[in-house]
Amino acid sequence: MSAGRPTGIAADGVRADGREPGESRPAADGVPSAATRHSATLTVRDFSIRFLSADREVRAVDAISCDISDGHINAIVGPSGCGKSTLLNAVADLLPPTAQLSGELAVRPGVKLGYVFQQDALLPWRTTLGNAEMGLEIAGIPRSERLQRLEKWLRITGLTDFADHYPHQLSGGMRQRVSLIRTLVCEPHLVLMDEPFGALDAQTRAVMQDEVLRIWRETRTTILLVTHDLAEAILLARRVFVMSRQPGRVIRVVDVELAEPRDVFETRVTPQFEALYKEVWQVLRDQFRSQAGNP
Amino acid sequence: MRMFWIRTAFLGGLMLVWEVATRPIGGTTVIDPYYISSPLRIWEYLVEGLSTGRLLYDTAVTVAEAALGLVIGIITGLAVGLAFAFSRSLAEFGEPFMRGLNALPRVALAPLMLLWFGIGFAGKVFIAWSLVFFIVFYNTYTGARSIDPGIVNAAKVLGASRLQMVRMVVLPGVFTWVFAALRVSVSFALLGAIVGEFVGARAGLGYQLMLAQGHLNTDGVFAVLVIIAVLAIVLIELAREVEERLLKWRPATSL
Ligand SMILES: Nc1ncnc2c1ncn2[C@@H]1O[C@H](COP(=O)(O)OP(=O)(O)OP(=O)(O)O)[C@@H](O)[C@H]1O
Ligand SMILES: [Mg+2]
Repeated sequence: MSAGRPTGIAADGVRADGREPGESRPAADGVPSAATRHSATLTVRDFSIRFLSADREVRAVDAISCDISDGHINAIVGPSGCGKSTLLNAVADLLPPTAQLSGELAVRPGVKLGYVFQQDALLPWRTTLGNAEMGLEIAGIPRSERLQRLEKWLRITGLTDFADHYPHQLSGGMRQRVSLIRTLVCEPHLVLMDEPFGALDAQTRAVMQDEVLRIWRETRTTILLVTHDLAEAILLARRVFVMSRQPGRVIRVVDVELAEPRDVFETRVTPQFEALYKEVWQVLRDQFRSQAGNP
Repeated sequence: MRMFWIRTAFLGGLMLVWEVATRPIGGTTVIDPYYISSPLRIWEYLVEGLSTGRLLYDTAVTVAEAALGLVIGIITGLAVGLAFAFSRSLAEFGEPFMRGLNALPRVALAPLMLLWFGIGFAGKVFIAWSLVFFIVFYNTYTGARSIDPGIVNAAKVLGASRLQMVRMVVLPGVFTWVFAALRVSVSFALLGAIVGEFVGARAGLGYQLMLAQGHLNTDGVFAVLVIIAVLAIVLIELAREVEERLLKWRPATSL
């Protein structure tokens, strides 16, 4: 089955996807089947992405399958260049026309998407507040209500005193927080995060992870998090998808059963965490080995 | 502050030397004021010209020509630049023409100006416009194409329509470039107006300059030059002020 390009996203950020939610069936190529639900927020089946240019073809994602179920944090880890960002961009319909898609990629109708990019992608000429309110402004929400809704988020993220600062006057962690609340204040049902804390130092990173956990506990929004950092994936996610090196496919799905509520600093030192870390690392290490041996 | 006094002293000294050099000392002068005038003679000419209102009127005419050329140049440059940025086929088609027209020395348009507009006001606006238009056009076009695709994607995911994209992302990005070139635009607008007046006019600072030169009136030439210099400095400082106000979100780079 060939989906061609996925249907676009309507002006309000809701995917205008008339397609019925795909019925669950065991995923292809021996991927351990997720506890399949009938209407996963995001369904990906045998989904492949190729980039065509004049002289060559790059297979970025190869027959990937995964179900992203409601209300959980899901993480994707994998070697650099395995197509993680490309997959997220396909979900958000941001791929260039040179991308050839095949297979099935379905966001449940009515699901509102949010996307936190690796680079904060803030508008340099807008202040913290101006950036954070972009989504609400686009949705036509009046200014007084925008301010009212943002106030809570600015307070939670400690940005209240920086509301009228321009991005170049903020630290990297603050900018990433602005980017985070710009997305979250719109109350999306599915939040894509592409290495959102990749550019931050270890301490700031831990603080941000803690913040994401707290926000998630409060909102129970579905999150699909791409990360290089194994510990981050295990700490935050309920389920971790491990991808092979390019062309990327899902080679392992790890269900993370850790004591809830998790704590970025406490959970890290439990034996369960260490066991999971070892398990995932083993799978990933093989990918790097085959990469090193076969450049 | 110390530098200010040093500069003032330097300028004052220069004026003094200039003045003394044009005075007869023992029957001879070092330099004949017929060629280089003298500070006092220039001052007298200025005071007279300004108090009768004649030079004031000419200044106003030149400023009006430059200002109108600037405004029309910015509006048309923005419009065409955006059209080029949005339509790939238009850009492909039109780019060589734009490059060709821009390469044309604008003084060469002067005969055309006289034919089309006569020696009145409109022709000078035309020359000023022809200079400003291309500055704004190229800045708009380049500005629109150098907008960070990450920002465009972010706005897209937040649900921005095409119009909202233009208003929130494209125009502010383009204005950055256009305002950064505002000082250049202002000085080119002034240049265009004055060059236009050289070629044929009934009023304006350029016309006064030609008039004084025709009468071999060095005092007049210098006096008008002083006015032009002061005018240019004031206008460019004004442009800098506007630029700084509008682009205050930008980090100050220091190398
Ligand atoms: N627009 C494009 N045109 C051609 N090839 C592309 C394009 N975008 C990505 N690719 C290729 O697709 C592959 C996957 O890229 P992608 O950015 O998704 O990797 P990634 O898993 O996000 O890597 P990283 O962890 O380093 O961010 C790479 O080989 C890349 O070269
Ligand atoms: Mg990536």
